[in-house]
Amino acid sequence: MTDYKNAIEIKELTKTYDGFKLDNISFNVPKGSIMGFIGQNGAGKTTTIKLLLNLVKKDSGSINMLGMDHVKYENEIKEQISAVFDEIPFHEVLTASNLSVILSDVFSGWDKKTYLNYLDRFGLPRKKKIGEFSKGMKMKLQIAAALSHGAKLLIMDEATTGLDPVVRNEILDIFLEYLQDENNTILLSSHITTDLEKIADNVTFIDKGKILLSGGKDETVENHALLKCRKSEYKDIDPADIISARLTDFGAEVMMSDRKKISQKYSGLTMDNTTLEEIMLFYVRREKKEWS
Amino acid sequence: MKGLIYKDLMLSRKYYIMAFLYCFMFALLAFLVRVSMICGNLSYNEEILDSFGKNMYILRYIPCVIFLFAFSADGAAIFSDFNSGWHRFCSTTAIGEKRIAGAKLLSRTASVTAAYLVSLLYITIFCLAGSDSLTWHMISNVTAIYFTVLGAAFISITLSFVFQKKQTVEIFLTAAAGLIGLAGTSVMMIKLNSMNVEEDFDLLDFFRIEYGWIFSYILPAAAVFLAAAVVSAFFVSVRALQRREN
Repeated sequence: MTDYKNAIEIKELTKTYDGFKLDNISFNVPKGSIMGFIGQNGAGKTTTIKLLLNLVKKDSGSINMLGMDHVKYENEIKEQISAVFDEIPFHEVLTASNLSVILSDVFSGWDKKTYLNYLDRFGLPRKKKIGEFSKGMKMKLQIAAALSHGAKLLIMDEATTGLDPVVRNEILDIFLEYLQDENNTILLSSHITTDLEKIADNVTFIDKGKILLSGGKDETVENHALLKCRKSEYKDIDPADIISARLTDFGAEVMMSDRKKISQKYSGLTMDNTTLEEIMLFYVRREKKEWS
Repeated sequence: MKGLIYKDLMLSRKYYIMAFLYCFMFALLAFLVRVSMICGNLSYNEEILDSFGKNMYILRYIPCVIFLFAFSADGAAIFSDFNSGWHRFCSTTAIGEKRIAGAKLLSRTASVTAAYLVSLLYITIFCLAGSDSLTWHMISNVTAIYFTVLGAAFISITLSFVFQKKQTVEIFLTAAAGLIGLAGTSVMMIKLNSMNVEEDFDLLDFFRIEYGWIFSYILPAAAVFLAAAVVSAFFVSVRALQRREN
């Protein structure tokens, strides 16, 4: 494996389906970090992940993973990555023990001892059928399998969706532990932004097949502000500064970027800190501009 | 490929258990019938056929059901893979379609061969001290079924491997090829058996004399393979068209 700075490098990637286009997207996932890949359902997250895994063919653009071209070195890359989806892909009539025998045939670097350690640590019964596991247990089993063959990159597609907060937190802790090794990287696709606020180093926000934001999570949040004002004050705001505005009976909440500039420009108005969820909410309605 | 074969066997084990119990039960029944006939100094002849023996001849068809279990076992493995999302998981790994197809071929060969051997065992017990003609017919029947089911599995796996990655087609191919194979074999068996039991003409002897005994199995099986291949090709073409549209 060559030395690389970014675990994933996507450049000008395009894929067109009937009624949807992933439009010339580019972003990087630095090695040793967690990238939160956010966007509403149908925004293009899963399509991007499928393209990364070469499950669908790209129309144009380039993808490098772990410093290698994702098509030319597909097998080498897939030996070193793990993909986890929201639904468990293992047969429900099998047990966690059965799975170890099977996966030792699937991954050349399969480490049974690590896998069994994870099972014990997660409190997963070895002899119980997978079909009898709860959703949280199934997700933990997937993650145990994903972490037991020395993967350098975890790709998680809505992996924490539908889980209760306790299990979600447990899983997020596992991710942070995994990242203790600075060679490991996670791409975490989710529309649950609170999870990403907790653990992500970087975020990429995709909507309708286009990347709207990509960069450090803290910088992204700090660079945005939610301006609260009366309707009369709202009329004086330059439309070019507005991403979108929520109008209520009492006034308006306006999402703006470039906080430093707008705090000087609108010094008399109240400016609140914002969250990833609010940023997503206001960006999604950017074409409408005003909503209630 | 040990792990993948293990997976298929684990997924279809209940069918193997059922097949074993079924075979054991009827082998016992056949054995008791034979013992009673030997004790009564009876053999398979017109006299027996005219009395109770005609009903007993139904036991000749027992091996067909054993193959049905083998076929169901394969089906269980295929459908479990499909329903669980196993194929999607495999496509995110470096395992490759070639190894998956290889493991499937081996596990299916193993299951169908096991069914064949169990059938031969059953025939041995059933025909112990029985007539030559009956033994030949039963062996020819199960051999034809063996090649048909195995051929259908090979054709479907090979075509689905060659033409596409997704497994939807494999299910259609296996079902179509297998059902045609079984239907074709059943028709052939009924023809063979009815001609032999009811008439003097022995189709099996006819094939043996004309083409050598080996052709009595291969020719009918080849005909069924061909039919299965035609159906398989149809499904593959439909899939190829769908892929082009996508």
